[in-house]
Amino acid sequence: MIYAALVYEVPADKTEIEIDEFLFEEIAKDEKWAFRALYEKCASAVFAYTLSILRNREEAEDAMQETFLKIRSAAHLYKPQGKPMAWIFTIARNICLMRFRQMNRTVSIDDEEAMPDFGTCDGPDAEDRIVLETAFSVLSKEDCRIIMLHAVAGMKHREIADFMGIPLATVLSKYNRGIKRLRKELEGKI
Amino acid sequence: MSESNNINMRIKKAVSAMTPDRVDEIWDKNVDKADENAWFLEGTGRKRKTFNIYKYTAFAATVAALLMVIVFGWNVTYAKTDSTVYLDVNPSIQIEVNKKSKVLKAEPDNSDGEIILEDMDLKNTDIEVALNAILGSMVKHGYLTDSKNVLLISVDGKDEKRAEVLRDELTETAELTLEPLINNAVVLDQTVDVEDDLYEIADTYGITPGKAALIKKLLEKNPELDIAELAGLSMTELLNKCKENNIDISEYINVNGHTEEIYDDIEDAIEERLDDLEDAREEAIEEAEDRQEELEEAREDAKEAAEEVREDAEEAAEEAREAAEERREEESEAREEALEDAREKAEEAVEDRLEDAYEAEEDRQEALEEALEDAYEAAEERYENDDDDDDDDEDDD
Repeated sequence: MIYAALVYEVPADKTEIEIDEFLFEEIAKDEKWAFRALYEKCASAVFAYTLSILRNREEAEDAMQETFLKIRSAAHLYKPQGKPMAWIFTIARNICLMRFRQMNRTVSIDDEEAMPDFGTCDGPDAEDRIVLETAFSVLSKEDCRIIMLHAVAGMKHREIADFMGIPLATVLSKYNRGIKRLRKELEGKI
Repeated sequence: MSESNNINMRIKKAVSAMTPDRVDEIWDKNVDKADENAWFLEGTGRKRKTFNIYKYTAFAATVAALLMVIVFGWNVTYAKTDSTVYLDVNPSIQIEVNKKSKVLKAEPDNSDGEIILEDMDLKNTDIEVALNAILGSMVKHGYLTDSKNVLLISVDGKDEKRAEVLRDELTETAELTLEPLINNAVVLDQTVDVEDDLYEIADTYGITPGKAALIKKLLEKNPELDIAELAGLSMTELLNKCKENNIDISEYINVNGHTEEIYDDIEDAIEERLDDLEDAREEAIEEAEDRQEELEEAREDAKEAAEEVREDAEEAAEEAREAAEERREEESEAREEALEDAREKAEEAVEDRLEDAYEAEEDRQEALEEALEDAYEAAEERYENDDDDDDDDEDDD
């Protein structure tokens, strides 16, 4: 709609991650350039997701690495269905669940735990880091996960609802509540 | 940029800066090709079906037949309104969509709605795209701003489930569309079943039947409100009106987590709740005190009654004791009398027996004396006779 385009522009970094599905075909043929392209597109999103589940930077990095290893090994099995991110996140989720089981974790991925361990966080701008740390420290695990999937992976709330298997109204409610809580906590900090 | 957008961007930047580059590390590892049943692929999608030529032929024939039906049935199915979407901000607009969520018709319900829809040809567009355009126009024309930020989406559908799904999708689209444009957009939603009375209210007051449905729900529980006044308010003003009258609008529609906007401040919400709890607590204390008093009174009454019963019992016991005493005395007297009688009778009997015995003794004595006398007389006689004999003998000599 021209009218809509004239009225507003959606900021570039707000858009959903778009992945050309043919990248999987090329990765299956062992084309490194395709793998790098895919990695650069969605590594942050996968990392955000594994971090929201495992809440430990080192473990989240390892889980993210394992996710991409599995993508390499299963790229030939990918069926174009228009939802490449869902396929990638499902693999990431299965890997995180397996890590939980292997570590004999007595808590489930949805139980509340203490503030996550980000390790020595050199990299992010100080204020950006404060926002991220605040999100992990004050929000419930589920609220945090929803915000990570929306903010970093650019997933729509409906897609998040489908992926997490919860109603859309719940996702909207948790997202709004989480953002408002963050806004309140960050007043005066940034 | 809105505040939430700012937060999202900072989170994204922070995570991106933390994400390590492990492309080379991953690429250098040997990986085996996975099979379809690999554990990490669970939940990723449908299995591939094998191609069957016979099924394909039958399928093609079926499709051909269906196409003929579809060609004739197209107008009936896809030209028919499946759901109606009502948008209320202050502009009020209604949009009819078919089963495929394509716009069949978009009409304004008031003059502000006319301004929004001016020069918009939305026919056959997807409802989400149409919504984007309409909301963008509302922002552009100043109907939606940081301070006039409330939108009501109402969906009336033939199929309730489909209507709910459409409602949720449109709510999400509206939230996403407005997020970068205005701060604190509040999207409220509901499904409605529009009947004649709602059409009438809508026509009378120049609002959508969706807003009419909400007003009707508010009036049912809050009859002191004025329908004309409510109809004339924008959604933002309507929400404020509810706040002023301590009406929790979340009881009537979905507020999608916008709890802070329902109350001026979340602290007000908490304070109000605390006040309610305090009132409830005081009421409970008063009731408990009343109950306590009642219990005390009942306890006193019971004590008095018990006392009376005890006194009655004591009296009765005393009477019983006295009666028993009397009875004992009477019995004792009776026994005494009987004993006396018996004693007297016994004494009489003894006396009688003694008398009889004396008399019998006297008789015996007399008899003895008589017998003795007789014996003595006899003896004397014999003696005399003996003497005579002796004398005779002597004489004979």
